[in-house]
Amino acid sequence: MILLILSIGLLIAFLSPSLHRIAKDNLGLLLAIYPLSFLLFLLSRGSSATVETHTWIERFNINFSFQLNELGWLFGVLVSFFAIFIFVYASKYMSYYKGAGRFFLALCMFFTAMMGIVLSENLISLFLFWEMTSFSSFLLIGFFHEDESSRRSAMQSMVITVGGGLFFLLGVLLLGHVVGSYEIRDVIAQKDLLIGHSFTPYIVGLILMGAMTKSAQFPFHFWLPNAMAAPTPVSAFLHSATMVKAGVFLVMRMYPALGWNEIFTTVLLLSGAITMLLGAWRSVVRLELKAILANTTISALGIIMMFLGLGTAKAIAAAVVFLFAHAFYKATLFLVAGNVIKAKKDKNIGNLAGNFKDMPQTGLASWLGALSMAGMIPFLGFLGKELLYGSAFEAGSLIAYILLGATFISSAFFVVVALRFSWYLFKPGSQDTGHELNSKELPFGLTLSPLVFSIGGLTLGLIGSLAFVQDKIAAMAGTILPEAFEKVDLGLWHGINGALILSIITLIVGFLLFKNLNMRESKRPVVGSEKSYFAFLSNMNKLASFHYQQMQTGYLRNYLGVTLLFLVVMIGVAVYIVGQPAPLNEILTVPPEYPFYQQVIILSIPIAVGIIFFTNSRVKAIITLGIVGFSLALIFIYYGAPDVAITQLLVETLTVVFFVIILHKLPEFKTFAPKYGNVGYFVISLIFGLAMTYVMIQVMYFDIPDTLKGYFGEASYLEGKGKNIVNVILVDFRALDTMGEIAVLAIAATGVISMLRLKDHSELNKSSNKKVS
Amino acid sequence: MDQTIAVSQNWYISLSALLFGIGVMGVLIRRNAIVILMCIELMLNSVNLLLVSFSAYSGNNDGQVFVFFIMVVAAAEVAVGLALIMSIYRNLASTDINMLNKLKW
Amino acid sequence: MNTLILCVGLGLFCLVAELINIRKLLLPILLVGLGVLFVFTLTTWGTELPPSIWGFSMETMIRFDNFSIAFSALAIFITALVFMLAIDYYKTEENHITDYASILMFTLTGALVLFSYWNMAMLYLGIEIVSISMYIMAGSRKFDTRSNEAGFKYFLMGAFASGFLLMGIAMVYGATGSFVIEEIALYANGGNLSPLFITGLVLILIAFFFKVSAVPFHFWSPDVYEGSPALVTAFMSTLVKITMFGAFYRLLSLAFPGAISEVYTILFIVATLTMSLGNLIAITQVSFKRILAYSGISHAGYMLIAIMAIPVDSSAALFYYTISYAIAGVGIFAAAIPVFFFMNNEKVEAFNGLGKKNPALAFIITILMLSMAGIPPFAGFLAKYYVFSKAVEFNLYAITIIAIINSIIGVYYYFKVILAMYTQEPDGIEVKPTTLYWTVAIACALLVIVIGILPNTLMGLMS
Repeated sequence: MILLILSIGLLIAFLSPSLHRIAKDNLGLLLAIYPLSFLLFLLSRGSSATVETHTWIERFNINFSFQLNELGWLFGVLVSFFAIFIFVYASKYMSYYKGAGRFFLALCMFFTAMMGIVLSENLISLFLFWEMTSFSSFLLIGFFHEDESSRRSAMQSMVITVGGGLFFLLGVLLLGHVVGSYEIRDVIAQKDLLIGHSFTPYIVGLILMGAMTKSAQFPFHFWLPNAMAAPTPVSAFLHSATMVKAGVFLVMRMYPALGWNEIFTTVLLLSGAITMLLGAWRSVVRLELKAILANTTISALGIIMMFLGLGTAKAIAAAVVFLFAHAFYKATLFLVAGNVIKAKKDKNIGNLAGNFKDMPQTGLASWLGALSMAGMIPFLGFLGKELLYGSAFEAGSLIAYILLGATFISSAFFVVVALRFSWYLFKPGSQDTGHELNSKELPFGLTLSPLVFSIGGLTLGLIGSLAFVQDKIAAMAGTILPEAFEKVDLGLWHGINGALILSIITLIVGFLLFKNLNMRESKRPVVGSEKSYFAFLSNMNKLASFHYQQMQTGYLRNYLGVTLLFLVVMIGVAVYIVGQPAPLNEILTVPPEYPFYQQVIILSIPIAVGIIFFTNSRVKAIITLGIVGFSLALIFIYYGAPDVAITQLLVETLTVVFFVIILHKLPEFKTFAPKYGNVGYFVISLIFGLAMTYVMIQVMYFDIPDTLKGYFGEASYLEGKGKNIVNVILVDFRALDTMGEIAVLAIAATGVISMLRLKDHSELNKSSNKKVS
Repeated sequence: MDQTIAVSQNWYISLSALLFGIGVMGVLIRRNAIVILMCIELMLNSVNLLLVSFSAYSGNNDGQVFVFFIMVVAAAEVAVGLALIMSIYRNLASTDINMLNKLKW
Repeated sequence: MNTLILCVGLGLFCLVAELINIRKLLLPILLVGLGVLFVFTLTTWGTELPPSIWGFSMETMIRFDNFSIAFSALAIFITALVFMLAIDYYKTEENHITDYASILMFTLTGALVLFSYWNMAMLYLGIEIVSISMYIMAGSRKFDTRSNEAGFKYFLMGAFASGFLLMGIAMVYGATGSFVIEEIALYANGGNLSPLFITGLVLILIAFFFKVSAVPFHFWSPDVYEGSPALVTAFMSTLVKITMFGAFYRLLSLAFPGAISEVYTILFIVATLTMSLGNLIAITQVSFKRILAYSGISHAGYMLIAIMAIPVDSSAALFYYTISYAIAGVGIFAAAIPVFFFMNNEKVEAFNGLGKKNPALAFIITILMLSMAGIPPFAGFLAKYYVFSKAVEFNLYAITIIAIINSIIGVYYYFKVILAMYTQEPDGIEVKPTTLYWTVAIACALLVIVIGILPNTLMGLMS
């Protein structure tokens, strides 16, 4: 069923460009039916432990299996709820731009992939959907492709997230290797296999790599602010409930299997803390509306990861609640930012004070969202922050207090940002004078969604004390950390305790900071990791140009030289590995015992070769080539292979004739200036020659196994009914070879003829007219 | 086989290694396409020598038979090589392999 | 066995066709012949008939098993696709079509030999058949100096490699006293390998590295791909490459299973270099053919991982990889050759704005490129997955991580082409492929999807 819905979703995605022709600007409204029906499906089905399995590739244990467990179900509800209103918003928003069909294709695909991630039970299919989100977000981020920086950001986010996904895949492969299944429930059931296994640290590291790249955790955080190049609805969707939460979701999903591991929690703690502080600080020193929000997203993700790393029951419940709170207010604020930019054609917050009169509805949404972000009672943001503080107090360890401090700092910065988005941007009764307003108030399509999200945040805060909500949250947290979750207290009032006091102090500090911090753009410090991303790119370019200039030069001898050098090294390595060097001096002192005629032959060959080598005369070269061939024929006779010798003579004669004919048509040798290349090549080939000779000299120390001797001799005599062994072998056993030879000769003949014949000279003109085809 | 023959064969084997090495060297340092072709021929010849030596050494004839194939194939190869050189010469009026550097990077 | 004879027969038939003047019908007849060949090959599946001609057993020369049948069928299929492209490609150069057709048929013969050899002599012959044909084809545009250069470079590097192959075979023969695969395997499994044997093996490896264009023996391939006629490049980058890998796998898995551990370091270094350099250089290329050349190099690196995993029987993984690679390769060329032709340009910029000019063609190229880049759900992803999972099974972690990093880099340059198609402005020149190009391109795109989504049958073949 789920698979069916997802496939239909993909189909819808691919149909949306065509649908765009029919539905025109209402395409988004039409397509919103898809997430709506998904939402209804989820609500009607409710969460359950049943697994829906579709076998896909049996030999790899890869199935499309889905489970509506508490975690996935709630995430699914969240994602599809957001999707509905994002679609609605985008429907209006995209009517201002070309290419809405393409946009909705990517958006539908993205939504489908996201649902696939949260509902997948099989890790491989989860990975597939994971990569699908990366790919579709690439399309979305790069939507304004006329813009160079937009393209670059899209590429960057793609490379980082796809890359992280592949590492995740490797982790999954290893995990499957250990556990023997890719089904998450099996992995969880058999997590004992992982404890103490030597692979576990790698598995943990690789899976975290996937989660951290996706959720923009330090040191992979830098792609996210760049990804705000996407159209606003996309940023709102990606940054609130979906893309970046996929990493968090993965950590939560794998928590029962890996949460016991110290590496897992430590990495989460550390990188979460760094990410949180980094994002929080950056968010107050940026002026671009969306950049501010992007950095708070990074910070919020850091907080969630960090509390997951803390790993107490309460901390996890806090992370879950904070995740929801963040989703609602962040989506609101992104859409608000989009509206402001749309209405004022300006994205610098410094120029945008006081918009309330111009856009009261957006302003209202912004206020509600910002109050939730600041953690005001009775918003969901307040509950989130209370729980965060409370859980840190409860944990009570040194680390927990450090975390508390860090959370406090970034929450204070959140308050600053929240005030900028409410008090500064939408001071009640204020009037912006700096900008021409495009229209009196933005159309309903653009104000509905931010209002819905902001009111959603408020409502959830109010109904938090209902048992039903608390049960759901507890159940969800229970899937993450099965150890005892009965109830998560989401009441607004717990009496005066440390958390409440700290919340109040946060607000005060935030307010003071807001008053005293100048709104300014600090030159964005390029953090080490982003620097190394770029350094990696530029070093790759350097390496590539080294390759051009030094190796792929177009000169054959260059190619041959490099190759040969490597070849000698390879032979050296191989012989070294075998490691039985024969005693050289012993071999070399064995006096040669040859009859005189053999000595002549042996000597004549190198001399002839030398002549080929150094001569400038064509005739001499050919003659000496002939001498080598004929001397070889003599050696063959000495070895008792007369038929080979005769063939050698024939072939040699033929070759010499070939060369003579061809040389007749070619110029003298000496027409080109320096005959030899540089000394380097000489040295390389000398080394090679020495290596070869060394290997050959060793031969005598290794006997040939004689178990194989004689097989052919006996068999051929009986079966082939012949006496000259070589001939019999040639005719019978080798009929196939002969067929092959015929093929070779046929090819050569055809090729030579077709290359050398010049049927008509018109061919020449023809080919110059049509060089490329 | 007695020791002397084995040893003397090894000198042939070394000779073939030497030839092969020289062939490689020629391919590497000469610039004339024709000479390079000759050097490749030399490499193949050295293999023939080696095969025949081994064949005699181990007393089975496979090696000798293999030599036939090498000869025929080498001849075909040389023919194709020469044809290629001819068509290059027709276009470039040279057989210097350093003229062949239009395709690079 | 009969497949081989039939294949040679078809090659010879092409030559006769020149004499009896049926050039126009030649390619249709050949396609039918290839179809027969394909079906015929498939019918021998699982039978393992003893190879024989006229009652003489050829057992020491050639053996057909499921590995060779599967690869042969693939090679025949790819050849048929290329021939379909050839019909239109050579329309303007009719007087050469018979030559080229016969040479391509002989190449296929060589490929079939290389998938089923049982003797070093057949290996050598097969490689030479394939290589010599390709030298000729690369230089087949005889008045184009670039084609000349490509042909000669290919020839020289190839002949050089053949020299090493022969030297290696001779050395192995010297050490083992045999050319027959199983007898060599007997020696290789016996332990206490002589330096002669190892050196021979290394030289054979090097020859194969040349042929599959593994770094640092790859220099010829970008130059040759760029200079050769596009159709020949298509043939070279698909059929020839998978042929060489089939032969390589067969050699190492059957003849040298006991010696792989000795050359493991070499394979590791070469595979690493091949993947990394191939991807790295591809990023900076502007010529489409060169991008494909370097991408082919990096794919060779992934396939080398399958070779490294021979001890856990990675033949099915290699087969699946070659299928997805070759089909995507042919498809890309089928879609790109019309672009080259109409734009009169073989650079990436020729694809600028194709998404607007001809959305369907651009979409097909996108699918094929995504498959090449290994993006799910296309075949290329599962191919990589299969190879990596085999590598993990054999505990080759380092190389798998390197391969994954490389896959990430690979994504980059395939997307460069996709971006060029969708984000650059078109220049108004229409690109209208003929029906045959469309057919092949669409067929390949569909196959890439179908194989990617329903891989079970193909993956189950070899095991």
